[in-house]
Amino acid sequence: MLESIVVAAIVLAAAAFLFNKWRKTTSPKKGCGGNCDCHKTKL
Amino acid sequence: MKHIALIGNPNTGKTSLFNCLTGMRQRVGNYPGVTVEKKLGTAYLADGPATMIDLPGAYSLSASSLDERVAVDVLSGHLPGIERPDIVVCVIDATNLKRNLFLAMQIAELGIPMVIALNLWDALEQRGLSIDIVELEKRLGVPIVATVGRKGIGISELRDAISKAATQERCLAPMTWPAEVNEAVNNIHCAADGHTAVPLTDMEVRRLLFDANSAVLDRVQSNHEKVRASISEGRENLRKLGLNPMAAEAVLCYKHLDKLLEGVIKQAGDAPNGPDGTESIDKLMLHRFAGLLIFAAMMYVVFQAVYSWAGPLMDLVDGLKGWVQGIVGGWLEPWPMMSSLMTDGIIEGVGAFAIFLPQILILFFFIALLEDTGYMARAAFLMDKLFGWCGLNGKSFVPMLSGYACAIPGILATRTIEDPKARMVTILVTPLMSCSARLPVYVLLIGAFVEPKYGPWAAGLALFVMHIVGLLVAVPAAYILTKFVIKTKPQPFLLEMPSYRLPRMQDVLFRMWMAGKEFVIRAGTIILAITVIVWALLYFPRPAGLEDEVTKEFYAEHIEPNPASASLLDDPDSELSVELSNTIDAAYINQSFMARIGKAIQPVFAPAGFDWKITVGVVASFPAREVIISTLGVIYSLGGDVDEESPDLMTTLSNATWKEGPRAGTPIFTLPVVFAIMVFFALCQQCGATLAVMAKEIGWKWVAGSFVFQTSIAWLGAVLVYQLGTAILS
Repeated sequence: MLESIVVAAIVLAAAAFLFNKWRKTTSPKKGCGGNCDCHKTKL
Repeated sequence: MKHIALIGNPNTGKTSLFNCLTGMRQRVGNYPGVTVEKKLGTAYLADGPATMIDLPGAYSLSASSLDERVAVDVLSGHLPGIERPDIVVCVIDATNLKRNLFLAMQIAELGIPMVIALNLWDALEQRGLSIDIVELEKRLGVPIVATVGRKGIGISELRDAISKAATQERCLAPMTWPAEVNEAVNNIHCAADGHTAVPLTDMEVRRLLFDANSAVLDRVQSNHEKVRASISEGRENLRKLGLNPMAAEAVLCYKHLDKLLEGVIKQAGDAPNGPDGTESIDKLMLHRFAGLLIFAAMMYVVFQAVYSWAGPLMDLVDGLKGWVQGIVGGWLEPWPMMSSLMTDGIIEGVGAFAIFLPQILILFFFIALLEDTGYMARAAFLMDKLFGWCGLNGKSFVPMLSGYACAIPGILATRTIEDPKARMVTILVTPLMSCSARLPVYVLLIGAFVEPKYGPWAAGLALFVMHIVGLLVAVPAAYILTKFVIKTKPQPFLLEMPSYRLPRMQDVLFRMWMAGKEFVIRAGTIILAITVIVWALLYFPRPAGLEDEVTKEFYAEHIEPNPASASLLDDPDSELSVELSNTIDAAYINQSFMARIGKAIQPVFAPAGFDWKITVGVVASFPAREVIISTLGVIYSLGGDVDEESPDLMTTLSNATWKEGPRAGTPIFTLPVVFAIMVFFALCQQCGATLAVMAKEIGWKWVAGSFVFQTSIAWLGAVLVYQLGTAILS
């Protein structure tokens, strides 16, 4: 029983890590690096 | 804290100076595009720490490319989150004083205190030349320090000069413009007055006058026509003076610099072979036929070395993996599920991936070596003709060359390309370059199937060929995109050839260290997490009666015809026991969630010769292509295929056979299948991080198109290779 719980926790942790990584990668970062319209107008 | 900006033309050794001043190491490259993003560090000066920003290399402040715009933004204080610098350190190539001072003269108009670092001083001395620094300081009015960034010479003097410049506030005197220019500037000011959020400075107005498509015009909120009319009028007045408005700034500035530099550069000795032998070497390296041959030979040697040097180190990592597996397996013996997760899952999967660390280190050793010697710029020059044919130019080759290490810096390096359409095409084709994540896939398959049959030379050749497959598709793809889809116009290609120099071993080793670190971090994070998920999908479900059912069938097949052999099952190491255990493992994996997914998708990949296990590997690799290694490791380990006879993944794959169907008993991995897998991986867009970066640069619509295109072409390529290969070999 304990073994199953530990294994399930490890698998869930891995899934949560991957989900978080995916969310971070696809969400826009702060700062545009000079590549957006707002930036263009400020130049 | 003071803010210091470091700016200069590309290839002036700016990044080396930045590293020396801040102690923060960066990649030191010889071609434009290395420093594309802003980089910050802390410089410790006599009067305390200061924030230092390394700006992208720029020839002028006309901001025609994105990275030049970032430089202009920082200097004018328009970049959000970055304060306007208190001091500018202008890095100047001492061997190219006049042309480099053009940028300094433009910065002078911003009125920021300046220090000039005359870098590459050693190259100047090699040419038998000298610059009268005292006289030049007097004429320019700012402190000047001779430096050699790569050797750390003149750094403490530069630190002192920056500290003093902050208190003395010495600015470079801007040049005096003719009355016609001043009049045009006044007229444009009047026309734009009240139509910008913040009034334009004289320097910004001069950009409107001198640049063909100035970004400053975007700041004029309304009344564009009146502003445009005053710009046209100003340009007409310049024409009356006999000046082409687009070239007027350069002509006037160089005239000013001619006077300013009179008698400052002196002959100090003899320069026997022109500038440090570079020209003589380039006669051969840039020759239209010999140059290309040398380039191809050099790449072949690199891949041959990557392939053959890594063997002993790979054995070491493999031995370590087996040792850890033995120890952990022993500890966890009472808990079979946990033991399987650790040994068949995590250690097998991550270990199968980590084994390729030596190849990555060797590849980056050569990339750093070629960059530091100055050869990469020559490679871009050689490729200009080929790229001109497909509507791009050598400037697009630089990001694509970076793509051989990783597509992400390659895509970011496209910011040096002025034409947005050419930039878009370059971004779309850069992921086709064979990045270092593909290397483990190639090495695994070539090592298992090409080398044992055809020897190490053929293996090196196969590795080389796999690295040009992407380029062979990229060139016609770029042709179609530039001619029919995005329709670019031919762009001129200007590239400065840095002098050849001996690479600095610290920089080369540092590149290797960074690449190795990145690889290990990836193995310990993304690869580890995906491995755990893949293991779970392969391990579950575990139906209660399956083992009994399989054992019963095994008895009926093997023991009942020969009852005496039953005693063999008491010995766990006997052949029969191992076979029973493998049969049970194979039965579990065959009904796992992953097997069901793989078998459902397998018909799509059947024309390429893939079985369900390869299909699972391919599907699991869409977030990151190197995942196939760990996935295959886990599949074959869980399926009971890894044993004493097949201790590593390479041997396991070579022994794998079809278990059912018309091909039962024949090897799964035939040569056509192996090359089909490699071609699929060479062409497919299997990198989540690259897709995200591309989306930020060009938007999701284009990314979706690129993903569909690359996946389709990869599938088509794999099918073609398999079908043709099978037809030829049979």
